Amino acid sequence: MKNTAKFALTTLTVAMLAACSDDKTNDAPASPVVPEVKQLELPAVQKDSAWFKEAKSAVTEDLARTVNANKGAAKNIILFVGDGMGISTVTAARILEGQMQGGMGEEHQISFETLPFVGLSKTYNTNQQTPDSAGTMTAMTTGVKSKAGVLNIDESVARQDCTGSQGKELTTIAELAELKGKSTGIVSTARITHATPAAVYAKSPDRDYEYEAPAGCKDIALQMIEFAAGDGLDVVMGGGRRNFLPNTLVDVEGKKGKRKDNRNLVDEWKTKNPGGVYVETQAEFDAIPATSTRIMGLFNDSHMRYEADRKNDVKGEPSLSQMTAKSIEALSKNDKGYFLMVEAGRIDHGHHAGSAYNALTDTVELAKAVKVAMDKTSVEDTLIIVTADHSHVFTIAGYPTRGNPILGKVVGNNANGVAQNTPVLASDNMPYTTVGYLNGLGYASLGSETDGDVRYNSAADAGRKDLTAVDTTSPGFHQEALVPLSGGETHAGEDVGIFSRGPGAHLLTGTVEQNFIFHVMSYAGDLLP
Amino acid sequence: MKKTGQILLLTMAVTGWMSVTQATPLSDNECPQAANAAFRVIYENSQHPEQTQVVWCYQGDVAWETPANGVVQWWHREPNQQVSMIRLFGSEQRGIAFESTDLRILGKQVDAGSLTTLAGDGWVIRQKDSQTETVAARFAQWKQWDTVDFADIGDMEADPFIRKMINIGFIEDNHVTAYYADGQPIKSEHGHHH
Repeated sequence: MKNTAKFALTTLTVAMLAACSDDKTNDAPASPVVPEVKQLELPAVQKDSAWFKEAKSAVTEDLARTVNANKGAAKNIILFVGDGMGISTVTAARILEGQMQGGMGEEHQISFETLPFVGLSKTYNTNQQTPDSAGTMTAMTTGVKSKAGVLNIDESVARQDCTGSQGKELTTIAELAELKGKSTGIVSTARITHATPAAVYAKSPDRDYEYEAPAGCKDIALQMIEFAAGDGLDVVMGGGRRNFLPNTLVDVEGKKGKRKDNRNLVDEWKTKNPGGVYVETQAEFDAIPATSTRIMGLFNDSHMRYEADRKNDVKGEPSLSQMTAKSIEALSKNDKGYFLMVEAGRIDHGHHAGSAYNALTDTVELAKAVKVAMDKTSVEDTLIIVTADHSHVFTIAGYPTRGNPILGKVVGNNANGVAQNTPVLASDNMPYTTVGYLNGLGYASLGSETDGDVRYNSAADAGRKDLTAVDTTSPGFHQEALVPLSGGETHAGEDVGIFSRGPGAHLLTGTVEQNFIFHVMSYAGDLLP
Repeated sequence: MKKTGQILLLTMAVTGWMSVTQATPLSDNECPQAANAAFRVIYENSQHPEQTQVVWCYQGDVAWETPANGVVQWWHREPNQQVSMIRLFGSEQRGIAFESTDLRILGKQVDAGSLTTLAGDGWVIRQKDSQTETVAARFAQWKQWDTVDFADIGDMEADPFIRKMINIGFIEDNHVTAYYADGQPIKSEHGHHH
């Protein structure tokens, strides 16, 4: 930004060509009009602007960018998936993190926004315009789109058709990586048997077969333990302990197992992995030996806590960034490299519940995890991809002034563009928040004892509420929604972002089908047979 | 429950959950987390004795059962003293589990100390007993029912159970445990019809 060289801008002022000559008899062509050339000096207020200088410098830096298009150049591949992390979620999380650090927010960049290549992913399932996580993750892990609710089964099979699914299973990128001698790992804040992490290793005609399945199908937890490609999954960290334990057993946090076949898959994993380390609590996680290469951590009976709520866990559980760091340390001991999938699984749940606070603070934690990966790997040999499976009906609206709290009520500018002191009132004379949802449960936090019956007997409470006296930035607030849906807020169908760096990353630009991501990973890692 | 117009108005002393009028605390309104803590209280509506509510206590857990529709709200105190809840549906023998975080997101935090307090007009105790075996058997029965997490509901619209629960408004119908005999929630007496 120190470049003080004068910046001469040459412009061509093109005069109008001569009009028709009055001399109709003169057939000679008119002399060409020579454009008038002016040497302009940009005004100091422009060229000395920080906006101008920083963006100009960024162009210079980008000109030095190189790409590595060599097949197999990516020794390591890390795929980050923010479940439900649409573009508006990324933008709001950027502003929130910036404001949490004392800035205005809009100018801030979360870690993966500094990655050099960005594209857009078309997320629809083969049978659904707005997708679910099973079908979308199948696209990313197999290179083939399929139906909603289905994990790594061809689209020709009906959901829940166990018989029909046999012989229609798709090979996943984790299997390919294992067969190339690489290590493999999955990390998620959701149950490790939940749709997104399950799509790394399982084949099931229904995502819900997490701990039991009809005849002809095998439940997802069992498939994880029996994952046979190469030497099996090397690192597994997440929630979902109950799906590995018999329903006669109570776990370390007082929760009961779900399995009805009386199998204890945790014990079976320990038997199969005598050198492995199994952990369930923060303390055990912290004590994992640095030499470990085989780890299974199941830190919650169901989903792990929201990052904002992690301190309330009974036995303590690690953050997504801590799990990411530990996973990379373990996997990187393999000279042939690794494939790691990291999911921020609860962004989706925060949105479904209409809680922007939880969705955004979990997105901020995802950004922290990506930063860990960026710091622990080399751009020369590691392809890092950050994307989402689908979006949510989450919007950033109104005309809030610069730096307005992203979770706050809209405070606008006056006619001179200067921030006002009080929230803007909508046509119903009530304030409104910047972020909100098109559908869902709606706002229901009016509930004190004295006004509890405001929501008396309502299944969902969409529409407008008087937020005048409400702190909309508090963790317990959930935003208004237009369309009432008791089942919760829904996914959205627009494209999601793909942020990347490393070998092959330059291919992840433009607007691509979601299954294209698999093909970039498999090319960059030379994984296809 | 012959007349669907009859209402069973039962509110709970749950912060942010519903309005509380005249509380009728139990003589021992704590449900201690002790191995031998077990009791059952059957309330009846003094104006409509066929309408009952049952409050169960077992080892610190408190359950509110509405026999007319088989809906049960089972409150559990976690080791860190946070409270989670499972809403059970007898007709389906399934339930929806709300973690303490879910309750907080929904603005439905509860006061664990007041869970056995029945509030509302016209309720009288018909029977109270402490037959541990009876109480334990009831909780053991409920434990056998499958539950889904509230956090998962947003991704489960294809599940017939979830669809049914959504259609009859149970999932987020948190302010009352008052229902007509056909399972439909009771409209407000005060004109708050939504």
